[in-house]
Amino acid sequence: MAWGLYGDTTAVVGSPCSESRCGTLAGEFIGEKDLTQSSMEFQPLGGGPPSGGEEGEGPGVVARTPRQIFWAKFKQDKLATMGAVLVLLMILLAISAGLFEKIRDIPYDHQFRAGVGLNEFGSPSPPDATHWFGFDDLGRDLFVRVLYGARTSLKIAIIATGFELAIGVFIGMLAGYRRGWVDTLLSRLTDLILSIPFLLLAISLSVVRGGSEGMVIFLITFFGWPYIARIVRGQTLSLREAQFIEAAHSIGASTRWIMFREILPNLVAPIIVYATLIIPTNIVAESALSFLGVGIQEPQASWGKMIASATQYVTYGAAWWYMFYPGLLLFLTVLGFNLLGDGLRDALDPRTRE
Amino acid sequence: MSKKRFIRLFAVLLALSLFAAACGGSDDGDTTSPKDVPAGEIPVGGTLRIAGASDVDFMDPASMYYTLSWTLARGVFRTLVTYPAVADFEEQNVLVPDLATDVGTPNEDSSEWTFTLKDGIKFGPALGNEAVPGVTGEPITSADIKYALERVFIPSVGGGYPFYYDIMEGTDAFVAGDADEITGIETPDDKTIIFHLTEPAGDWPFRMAMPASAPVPADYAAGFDAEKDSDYDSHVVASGPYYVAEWAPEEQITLERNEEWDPDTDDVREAYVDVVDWKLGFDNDVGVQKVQGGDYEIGLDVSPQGPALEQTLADPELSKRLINEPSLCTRYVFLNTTVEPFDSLEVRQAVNWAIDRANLKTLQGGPITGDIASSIIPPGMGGYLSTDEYNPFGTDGMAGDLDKAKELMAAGGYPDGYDGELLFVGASDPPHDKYAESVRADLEALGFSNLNVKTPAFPNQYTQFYGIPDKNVAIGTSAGWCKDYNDAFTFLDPLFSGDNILESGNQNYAEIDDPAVNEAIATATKTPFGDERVAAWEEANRLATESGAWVPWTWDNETIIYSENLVNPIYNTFFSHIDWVVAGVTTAE
Repeated sequence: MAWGLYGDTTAVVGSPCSESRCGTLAGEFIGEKDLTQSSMEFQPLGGGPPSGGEEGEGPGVVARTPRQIFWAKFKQDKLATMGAVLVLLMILLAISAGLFEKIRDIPYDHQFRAGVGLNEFGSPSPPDATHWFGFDDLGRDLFVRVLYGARTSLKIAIIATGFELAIGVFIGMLAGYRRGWVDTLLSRLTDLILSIPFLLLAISLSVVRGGSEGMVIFLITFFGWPYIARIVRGQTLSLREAQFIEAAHSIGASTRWIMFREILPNLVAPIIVYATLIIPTNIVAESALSFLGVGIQEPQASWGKMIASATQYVTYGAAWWYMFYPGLLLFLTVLGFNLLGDGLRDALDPRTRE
Repeated sequence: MSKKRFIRLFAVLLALSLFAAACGGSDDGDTTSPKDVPAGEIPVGGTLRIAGASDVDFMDPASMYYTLSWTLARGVFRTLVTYPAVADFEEQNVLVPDLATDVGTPNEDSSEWTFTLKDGIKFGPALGNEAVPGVTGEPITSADIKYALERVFIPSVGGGYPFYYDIMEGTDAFVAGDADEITGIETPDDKTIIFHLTEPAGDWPFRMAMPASAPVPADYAAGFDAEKDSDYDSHVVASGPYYVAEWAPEEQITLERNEEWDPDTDDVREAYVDVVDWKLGFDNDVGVQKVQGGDYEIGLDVSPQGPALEQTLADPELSKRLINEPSLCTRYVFLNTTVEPFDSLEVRQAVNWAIDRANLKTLQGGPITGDIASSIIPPGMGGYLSTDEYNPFGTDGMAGDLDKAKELMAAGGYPDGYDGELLFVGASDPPHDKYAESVRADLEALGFSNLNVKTPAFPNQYTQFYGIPDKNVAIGTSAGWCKDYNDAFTFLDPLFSGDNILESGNQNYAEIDDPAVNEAIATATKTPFGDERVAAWEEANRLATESGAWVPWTWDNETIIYSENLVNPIYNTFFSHIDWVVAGVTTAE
């Protein structure tokens, strides 16, 4: 994956877009009703003189900012819109978890005992009019817990993604811009971390230190930033040869200025796209760790943990709700972020303008 | 040291399934096994097929400490005395002679015990059908018993429970290396063995019924024991009706008939089957299906749990072949009496009132998993007090009484609860995580607002927390204990005696050192066997329970499944399983 945007200059750098969807989408877009207009508008660099648009405001080119271009393309992408809606919905649910808890007066860790939440064998009771999603294996209301699970998942995924980006972008830029021994050192460091088996370390660390929210964030960050660092390094390597960087050099800009004021803004688009795509990965990672029992601990809610506990019952055809609802929300959240990420990538990729 | 056995009982199942304990239900007062078939109707011959999940811990009788190893030992090793193979639980606890001619003759104060060996008892082949020259086919002598007990103290053997035998005179000198033998074991001739003890021990014969006292041929085993780590484990010599023909760790154990065993010398073991074919490594659910489908006769450490148990019970055919009997284990929540505020008797009692034991029982799998405990000593053991006659923290349905608990908190000086940090240690494996959650919620309702909850993987809560007093674990929710033999000594002495608070490997997790409790235990230990001793243990049980250091919440049941091919499945409480040496198979030709 590689995207290159020189900010407002709209020149393309980096490796070519390899996704078939780029071309398709571009084709679809160009195939819209006014080919003339689009061809006029989307050839800011090499386009000939305007052939005269019907709605043109004047004899010149109608200027559209990259943001407008992005927005126009994004709106066309129905899947991406759906993804965005799903993501928004999940964020809303996560935020409103406490509200639901208040309105229905069912604390997320309240255990309905003695025949309400559990049957005589200790298996969860099924959904009813008050408890829409049924109960979990401690007799707690599954609806409230699934909402809290959304909160846990999104919180951990977003925080971990933030840390990954902060570390990955900085290391990647430093390595790509400074090159030489700094690059060698940092690149070997990322190689080293990428060669550590994630699950083995995660499980052993959690066994020794105990699972917790902080531990999950640490583990995801620790193993996630090298991927970002590699991509950013590649982008920076090509950017640093650009003329505007040379220009900045020539007027005596400091390294820090160049890195954060010249290069970083040009990395924003790939960073946004990559962030959207690693959030679902991180959600899955959190669920996986919790599923294995080394992630989120009781009484905090986690989809992975719910699914793990539910397997024992579902194997015997019991308590389907216990696995279904957390599984469904996990699925929808990950799907939403992935669709959104794909859409963002396509919309931000200048390749698709041809 | 029954924690190890407790771990074995549960750890294996835990890893695989939702519900830890092998569980089952029996009506109160039902003290016999479901079947007891007249001897003449039991088929002779055939192969007994056993489905198991995990391997024995050791083959070496000095080290084996898992219930499933003891189950194997039942047919491979004989001891001076043993438990009879009868269905009645009361009778099961009346020891009978095995290698000895009687159950031992004590001196006046039970500090000296004399046993005489039977004629015609011989060693069989070693593991792998190896006929050992000078051993196989040779008579078992008193020297072989003596060596077996000495090697319990040899570091290269690493015996699991020397504390039962360290009251023999001269043990200290032997351990220190100042003596070549334990002088307290006297063998005037090949047939006679006399134990000189440093203190009276009315229960000495029970200790002589544990596998560690099974004869070991000295000349043969000494070679292995001289190594850094004794390899006698892979060369054990049989004395029972079967020898270990094959042991492929984690895969297979095969037992075949020991032709040197003379049935006339053995009144306990009938040894109907020719071969025991014990397959290991079954996934719990698969093993259950194989047994219920008739591919195997006995499920050793595989048993239906949770939803599978529900299904088994609902099926009239399958539920007929289910044994649910007390396993003589108690599970408890402990409160560390050295940690504020549990140094206060009122606070400990408040917690005893606050804990919803009924909910813990539901989480374990419901009434079928055993009775809710109201005191420490489990049913079936002398000193047990039924819930009807004794229930100091009894409430309606045993769900706790928060108001009463809060009153006691106030009486103890904590009217607003306690907000200091307390280390709260459970275990992460289901259902232990649920026990911890249930107890945590109860304690928070009582006003403990700053619990530092840790749930390591089972059984690390024992090894990394409970057993180490320096950790200052305030509350432990995943503790349990099973008897070693049927005397409350094996319960109260290691767990409640102030003398047994150890720097490491501690078992008195509550670190209770209460003079009245200590005194009651000491008194009961000295009391000769009989009603008087039982009464003394009852008194100790009361004092220990009312100390509030434990919140005992279940007396577990063992759940065992067997196939329709098995004849005469009697449950034996000594190793908590089917007494297979008196069972037969219909598949015999």
